[in-house]
Amino acid sequence: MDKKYSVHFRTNTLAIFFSASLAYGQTGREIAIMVDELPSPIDLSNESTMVLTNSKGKSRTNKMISKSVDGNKKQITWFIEPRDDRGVAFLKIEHDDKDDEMRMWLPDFKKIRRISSKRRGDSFMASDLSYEDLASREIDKYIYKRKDDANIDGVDCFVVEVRPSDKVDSSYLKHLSWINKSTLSVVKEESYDKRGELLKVKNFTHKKIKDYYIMSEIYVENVQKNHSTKLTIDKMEVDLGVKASLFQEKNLKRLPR
Amino acid sequence: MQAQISVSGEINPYVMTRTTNSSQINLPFRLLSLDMGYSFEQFDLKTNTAIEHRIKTNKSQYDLRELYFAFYPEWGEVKLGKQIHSWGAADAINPTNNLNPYDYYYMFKVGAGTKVGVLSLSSTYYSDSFQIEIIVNPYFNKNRIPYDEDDFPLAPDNEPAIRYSPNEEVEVGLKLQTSLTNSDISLYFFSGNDRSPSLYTGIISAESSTDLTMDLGYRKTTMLGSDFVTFVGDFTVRAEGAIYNTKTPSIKDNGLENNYFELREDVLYSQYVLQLEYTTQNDLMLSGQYIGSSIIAEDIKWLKSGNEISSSSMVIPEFSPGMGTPFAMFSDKALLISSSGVLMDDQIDIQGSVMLNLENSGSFLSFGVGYSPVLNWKLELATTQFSGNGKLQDPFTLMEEFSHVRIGLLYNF
Repeated sequence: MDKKYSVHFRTNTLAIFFSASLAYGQTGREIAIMVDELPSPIDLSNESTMVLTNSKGKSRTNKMISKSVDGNKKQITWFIEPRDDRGVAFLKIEHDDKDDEMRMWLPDFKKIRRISSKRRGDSFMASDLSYEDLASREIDKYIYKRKDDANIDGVDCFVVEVRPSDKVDSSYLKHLSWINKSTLSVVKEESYDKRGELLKVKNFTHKKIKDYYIMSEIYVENVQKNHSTKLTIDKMEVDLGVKASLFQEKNLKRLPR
Repeated sequence: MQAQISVSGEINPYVMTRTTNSSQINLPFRLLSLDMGYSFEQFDLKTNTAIEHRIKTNKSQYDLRELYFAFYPEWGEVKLGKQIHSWGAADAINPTNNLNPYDYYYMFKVGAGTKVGVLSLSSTYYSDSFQIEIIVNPYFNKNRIPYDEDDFPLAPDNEPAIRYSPNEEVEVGLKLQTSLTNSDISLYFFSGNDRSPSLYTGIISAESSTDLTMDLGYRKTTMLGSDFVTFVGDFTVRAEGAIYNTKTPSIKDNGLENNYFELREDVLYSQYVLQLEYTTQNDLMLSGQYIGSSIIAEDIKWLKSGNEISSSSMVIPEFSPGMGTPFAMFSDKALLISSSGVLMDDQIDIQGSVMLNLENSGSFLSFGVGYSPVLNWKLELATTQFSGNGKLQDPFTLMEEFSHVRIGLLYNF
């Protein structure tokens, strides 16, 4: 069974600190596996704000509510703002043996529309995040190469180059990930387009909830478009006992309380 | 558990000006749409209301478009009340979507706004591998047709008197949806009555044999349909089709005079849409639809006292479908190409579409742009142009004088 290396909502525990600090001789893949094996919440519920800022400095704000289980493999998101998008909802279910399922509830049409999961490079709600950025990364579908360690803002980091293998359809040539040696959370990532030119720079902030370190903010800058997106998790709860039946089409039609 | 009240909606005043002579088109539009909901645990109460306004007469009317109660048990959902259902995987043109009548005033809009809410009971059961939905409409409902509207060229002059009500008002719909490897497939069944009236009887005046009175009714129609969604490379394929069997019921009207003739129609016809869509790297969505309809088999005859009469004495009228997509009236074979996209972080949205009649010359072109300088406010500018083949009966030709420019303001709250 493939292991998952999820960039988003990744978690870890303090216990890992000690084993991680001894892992200086690890390969890139071994570091990725260590990150992947960190304990993660059974489910995650959050309310978030996404601010899109264009090259002229003009901003636009989206607000949404999201619930996920199984390391984000099943996720349902309801859009609250802007008002003309209120009620639009998005359901994603990742599969190991077939293409992922993505469906959208469009209240104005009173219709659930299945959308393609193959165009992973498409923008998520006109932001600088693509569907691929929001998806889990399966360990065995990527090739890892450890680079020289680095220090970012006083944080010692592993630096790992992550290249999609031919088993995965990706819009990127490669990523460079900076991983906090003490918490094993990704603090920064650079993503390069197919031509090998820098496309996005992502900075992550994490927050400890219960025993997990969970991403609380992501700032993405598309350096080619001079456009940025800041996704802030305003309210986050873990292990609430979210039922698997939540990830049914019928729940797209109801905004959560 | 906390109860939740939700209120949202839009205010959308606009004017439509003819491109031929710059005169204003006087048709009603929804000035205000208001959605209100009350949710508590597994229960919802939802309403959708509208204020429909006509600028020329400055008159408004209230429209309760939906009012229904919904219950969400673990296994699915149950809804009861006046509601709008949406069937079909294709965009805008859905041959399977016959549970609600059409509102022809809004036939060039998209989405649930083109439909009229009906009282119904619906229930959907969800499992991991399939979902099944059953819908019962206890009362018959007809299309809202803009009769005697000078500014809507397809409008009939007068609302015809309907002599024959449907024998059975109860209508039943059934939908089964399942997912294959990377595809969704649905099967549909609907048994109900036509939404538009058709000819039932003709009565020849006792004074003059050329003076014929036509009486109308709503035929019984059964529909079997299917849709399919799959992904081929970067393309999305949506296909949808339906076969309808419509029959004029036997007339049981003791009030009829001796000189009446009964038109008996038994027709099998189909409508279908094949849609191919592609999204460019710049998030511009391109879509092409091949739209078709055809008569598979027809048996149309005039009866007198239950016996067929020769067609020479009474002309057999051309069959007119009473169910299915309104766009079937424009062409039996058409191509609709659409595109939509956003610019400047959703501040500008653009959409355009062109419909080409593949059987005769005729086309329909629309283009719209929306600009949102402030969040939740949008300025809208759109144009719609029709071009026909010059023949008076051609719907594209008839609609030429409806070609217009629309300017509006949209506020979402």
